[in-house]
Amino acid sequence: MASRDEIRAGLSHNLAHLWRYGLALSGARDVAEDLVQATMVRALERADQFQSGTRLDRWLFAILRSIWLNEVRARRIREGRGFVDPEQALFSDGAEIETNIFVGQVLNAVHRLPEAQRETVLLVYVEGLSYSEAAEFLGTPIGTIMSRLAAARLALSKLRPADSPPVARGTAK
Amino acid sequence: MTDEPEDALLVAFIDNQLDEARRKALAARLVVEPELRARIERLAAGGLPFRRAFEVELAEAPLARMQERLDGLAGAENRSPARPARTRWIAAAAAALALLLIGWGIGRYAPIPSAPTPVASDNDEDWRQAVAEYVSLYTPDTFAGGADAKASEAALAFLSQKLGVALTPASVALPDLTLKRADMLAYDGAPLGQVAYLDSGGPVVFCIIRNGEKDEPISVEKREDVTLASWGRGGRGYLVAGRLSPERTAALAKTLSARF
Repeated sequence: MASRDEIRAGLSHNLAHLWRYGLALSGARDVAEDLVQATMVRALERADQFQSGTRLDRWLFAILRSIWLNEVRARRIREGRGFVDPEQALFSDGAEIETNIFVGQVLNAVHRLPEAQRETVLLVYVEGLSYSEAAEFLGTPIGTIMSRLAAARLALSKLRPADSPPVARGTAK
Repeated sequence: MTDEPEDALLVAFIDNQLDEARRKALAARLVVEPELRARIERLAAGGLPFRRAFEVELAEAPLARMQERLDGLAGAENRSPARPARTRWIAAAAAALALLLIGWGIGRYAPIPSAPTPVASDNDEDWRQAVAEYVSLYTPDTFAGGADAKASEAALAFLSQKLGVALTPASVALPDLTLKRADMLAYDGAPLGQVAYLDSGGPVVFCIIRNGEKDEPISVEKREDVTLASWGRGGRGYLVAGRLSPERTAALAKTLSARF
């Protein structure tokens, strides 16, 4: 059992990561912020359900995901609001240097992927989950993780500037 | 889009997620099958600098607003007015608990150092009171034992990352005080770093909180039996506390405020 203070501290330290995950799921900054807000409320309510010794960040991610899937996403689709244009939702920084332009292109390209691929890319290549951790977190077979990543890579393979070296996945544990 | 059943396998190869046997088998096939090589090259080309690209979004997260909401959710339950004196030690112990120790595990997933500062909250006063209360429980024995220079240095590096200030054994060194340890705490959701020293009179702490505090010059006050000297700069609150004379405390604060 965890104390509310423990959950609160965990929330505080994961706010930016939760928001980024919410943005990857919803494609909209305001929705991401609402998702984080709902996650805070839910996590604090259910503080006694968190098992100390397990990953608090994963628990918070799972709460956010379930709110997205069961509440927010369904409602947005019903209301016909769909998803925002990634071009305007993201990276409006006016990027000064060329590498930043490329970084912006990477972000935009990932956000244009279908939701399941986008989410898997974020979890594995950005947050650093192993295939099996991602499969467990998403409740899918490992093969599904692999084929989503393959599909994402094929879609993104045209983006790389000719001169830059290939990048392996992020550091795994 | 990937009907090719082998794509999944090739991606797992690139990501180094295959077991030894399957990795070797695929490596052997890649030597003799040019089509498979072409395919894996295309998949490898889709491996972009994802992590670096997505750091931009961490920095863009509306941290201040979200932290403010979190503080709002937290605040309702545990703000209590003045306590009777006889339960003071209970309050102090509770305050010490509220300064929950943040482990390295959580730290791993924390925002990047350049992320915007969490927000100013209305608890500027409370965190000083909390520090005063638990410092009043310290005795010279609290930090007995030798200082581990290497551990301190690593802990300071960790604190630096959390707080966005450069803490090193040199930058926190104080005359006549022995650096004992550095800890990551939190007050009401805001990261609070504490560097502890020992002098002949007992423990002295230097605290930094990243709570969006306003710029303020050094002010000295006494709470419990502890003297506090605090100041604010760059969205961070700083505090030196110990059972010291106001003059000595102010002098230590002056030395540190020249650096932070």
